[in-house]
Amino acid sequence: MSDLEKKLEEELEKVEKGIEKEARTIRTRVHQHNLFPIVAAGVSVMLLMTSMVVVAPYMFLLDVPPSSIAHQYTPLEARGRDLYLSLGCFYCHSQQVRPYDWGFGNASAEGDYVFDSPHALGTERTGPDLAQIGGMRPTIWHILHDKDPRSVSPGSIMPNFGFLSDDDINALVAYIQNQGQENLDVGNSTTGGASYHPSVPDPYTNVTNQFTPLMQVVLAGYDPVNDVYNGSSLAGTQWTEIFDIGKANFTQRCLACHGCSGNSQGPYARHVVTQPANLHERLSSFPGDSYDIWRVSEGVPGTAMPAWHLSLNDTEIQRIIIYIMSFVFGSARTFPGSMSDAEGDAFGNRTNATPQISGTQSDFDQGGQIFRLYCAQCHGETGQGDGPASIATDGGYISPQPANFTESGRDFAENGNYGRYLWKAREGVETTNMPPWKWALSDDEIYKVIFYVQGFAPAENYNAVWGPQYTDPFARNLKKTVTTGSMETDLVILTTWLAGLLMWNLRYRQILNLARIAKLKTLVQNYPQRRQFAWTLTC
Amino acid sequence: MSEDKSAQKDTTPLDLGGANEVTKTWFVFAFLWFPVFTTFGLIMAIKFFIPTFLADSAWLTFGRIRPAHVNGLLFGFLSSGLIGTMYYVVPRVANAPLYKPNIGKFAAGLWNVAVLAGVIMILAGDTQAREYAEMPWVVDVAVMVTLILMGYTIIGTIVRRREHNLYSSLWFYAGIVFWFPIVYFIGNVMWNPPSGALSGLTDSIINWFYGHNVLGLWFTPFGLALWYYFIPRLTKRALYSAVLSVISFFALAFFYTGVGGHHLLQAPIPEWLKTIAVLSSLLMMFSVLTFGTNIGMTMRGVWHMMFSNVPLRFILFGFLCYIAVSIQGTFQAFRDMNLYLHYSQWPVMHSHLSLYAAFGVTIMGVMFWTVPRVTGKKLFSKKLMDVTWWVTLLGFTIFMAGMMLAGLEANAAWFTHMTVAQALPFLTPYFIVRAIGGGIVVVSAFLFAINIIITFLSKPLVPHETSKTETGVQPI
Repeated sequence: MSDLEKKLEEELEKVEKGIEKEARTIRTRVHQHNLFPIVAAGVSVMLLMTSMVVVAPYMFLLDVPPSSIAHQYTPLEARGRDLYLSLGCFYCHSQQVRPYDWGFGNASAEGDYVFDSPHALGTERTGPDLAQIGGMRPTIWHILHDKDPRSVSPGSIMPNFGFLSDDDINALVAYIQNQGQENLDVGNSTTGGASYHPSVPDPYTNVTNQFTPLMQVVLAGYDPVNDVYNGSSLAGTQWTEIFDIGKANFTQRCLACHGCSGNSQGPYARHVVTQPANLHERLSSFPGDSYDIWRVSEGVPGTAMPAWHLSLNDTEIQRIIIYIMSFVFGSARTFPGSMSDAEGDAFGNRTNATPQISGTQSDFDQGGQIFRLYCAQCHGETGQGDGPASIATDGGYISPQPANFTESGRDFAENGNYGRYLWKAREGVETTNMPPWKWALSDDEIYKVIFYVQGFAPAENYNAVWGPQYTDPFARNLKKTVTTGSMETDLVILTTWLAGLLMWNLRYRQILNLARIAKLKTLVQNYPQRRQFAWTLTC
Repeated sequence: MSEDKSAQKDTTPLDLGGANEVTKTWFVFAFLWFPVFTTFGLIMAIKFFIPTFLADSAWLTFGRIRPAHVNGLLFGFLSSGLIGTMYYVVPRVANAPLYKPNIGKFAAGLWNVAVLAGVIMILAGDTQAREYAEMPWVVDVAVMVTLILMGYTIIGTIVRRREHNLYSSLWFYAGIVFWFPIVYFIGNVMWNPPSGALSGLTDSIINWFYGHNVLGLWFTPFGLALWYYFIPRLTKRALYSAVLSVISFFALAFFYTGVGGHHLLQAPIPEWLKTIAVLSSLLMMFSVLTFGTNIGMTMRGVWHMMFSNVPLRFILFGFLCYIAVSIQGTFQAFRDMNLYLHYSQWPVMHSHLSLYAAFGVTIMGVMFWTVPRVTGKKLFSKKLMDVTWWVTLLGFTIFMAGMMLAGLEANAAWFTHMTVAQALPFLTPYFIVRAIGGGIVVVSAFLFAINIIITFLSKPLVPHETSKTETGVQPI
């Protein structure tokens, strides 16, 4: 050790001793407090803040007038509210509409809650906000939904409340149906209780749909389980025509908002302030022909629903309504699947159809986007015909079951006719819910989505038939190599990570001991611990 | 382990006056409640992707399991563990026998009977339906009585102390026994039985004053006091600065009290109240950062001890999670951030990060360390304790990731004007991940409880008298 270092050491020691002494006095000073002043000061500042955040708001909110949607609860509603609270509904359903929320109603105001005790503002939205849910759905919908949510709302994760008595369910629904609305008469819930619907005004009061009798004849002759039509062939032919014109009109006018499966999740639905009607739900509690014809003809005030009688005649409107009735529990397929296959093949042979895209990665990706936007709700994300709206899924209703592309990909491929794909995508499939997409998509988009759908076909069929029809290497090799699958990569990463963790766990003591020794060495050499007291002082 | 050789020659034996018995009583409840009520949480997590799971009776429906899970863990496990720790720390730091230990034991029994009764009443549907304040009025009264009895023993011990200085932990313990009865009384609207509620927005404001201060003026000061004692104690280093601890004490008393309004930032409560809440949430950082600096500087140079000392590892992990969750909380309280993150699974993740990861894991560590000392028995298995740590860490990571991602995904979807129903299918994978992580957490809770139960049931290592007194260790 050099002289200089020795000198420094001595100097340092002196300084530290001094600091230590001082530090001791400071510590003593701090701790000489008695208990009483500490507690008194601690409690005082706490009470000061409490007076600001509890007492002041209490006085501030003493005389809030009730808003127009606040109302005293009737005994039935009060009972429903007690159930709502004791079953803990408010843990998943908030009751406060924020100014920037979308589709839940007006922003909540302080007067909305005047009659609520205790409050039920909630903190989560695992389910939708219920502050102004009243009247948004038919009473019978709520009753079915509370007993078994997935019977009317596929994909819901709400628990079943089937264990409640009918009286309890009625009380609960009475509370819900009056949430955030002018006090409504929910009517007799056992009969459907749709009386919150405005009554149909004069010119429409007694209108009937001219095609309803035909629909009844056709439905009587159709066996949905085996997908066979045994009824009159004349009625079947008429039905095919009426149904398909209705479907074409629906695709042109309604699909953008109401969605191709009528579930209110069309591509524009997010851009309108009031959610479009969920046709499946609405029609499951069908208020009657006259009501539907009135709503479609005159539009719905305060929503984006136009008055269609300005651009469609009565027959057209009635055909559309006949078509959307198929969103209740499926359509009657009077035009057999084999005939539409034959039509598609004939079209393919006539035009010698081939894909008009080269099959690049971006074609495939765009096809995927369109598929997820339009097709997946029925055909499913994985193309197996099991989307949320499909009859194959709990709570689904699109029947006959939508095509399963992993299977039909084989059918298509064995037949080898690109025209069949193109025909069915462009023109739809007669008397099913497959729309004629030529009214909603460009040809280019249809080619891309077909390319994406072909990707669901088994590899051998794809490689034999579809791959060679494209020019781009991406399409040709789409099903040839599986090494880039993300699943495998993930597995490799996961395994490496776990192996690393295991290694570290086994070895960490040794490694840490080394680190610890190195650390101690540094400490001993360079870093007198007592230096910390200097930090104490600077604080 | 190094801390086993802790006897210091120059200190006189400490007469604890039966404090160990009281601590033991509280701990018994803590380790019994922990696995039971985390299992409730797992049932809930499964309901998120199998909604028909156990949905056939009112008792087990989601809306009742959830408050049972929350109240059971908050007041059963966490509070029992923290109060038991308080009875461990106070006589040692005050260097005085515990005042009226029998009252302390009685309080433990009354408290836990009240919690059990409260949970059963909630499951039966008798709830006040205010988040965190669900327990019925009768139970509230029992809890208040316990709080007062507890305060009586603690203050009695502190005023009879032989150590002149008041160590930081004692400040917080002395504060808690006055703050929390006030918070509990106001928050539960106890003057208004049986509903225990006011009406309208006032009720929501008082609910969240209470809801946040269960954390701010109950768990947090308990946690701070605990970390102030155990970290210097286990590392054998003086607390870095007493001045910083004083700042953290007063900042906590003032700012934490006012943050409740940030739960209602988008509700139509008065704007000035929101401003107070946001500012308090920001200034709360005074308390958090002074405390964090203090402990961090105390730990300087000895962080490696958390790798060799398993109880310390639990405690420090809890400490780090507390700092993380506080910073997260402050940012979440800003209006824009809150607007984005509100209503999803993110806040659920936030509350688990604080209550489970910060306080729950800390209590696990504290109990691993103190149970052998209060019972005079050898810990059943150190290997199992180490395994428990790894299971806890693995479960925690998966559990948090699941909830965080589910929250962000839902928030992103809502911000593009998707409805709740539309966004729900995207969340299923995260819900499954969350249940898997939660399941691992439950496993760790069982491993912990088994280890501690066997320790309790084993034969004492030393004669009973020595467990009553202990060589005094002054952490400063």
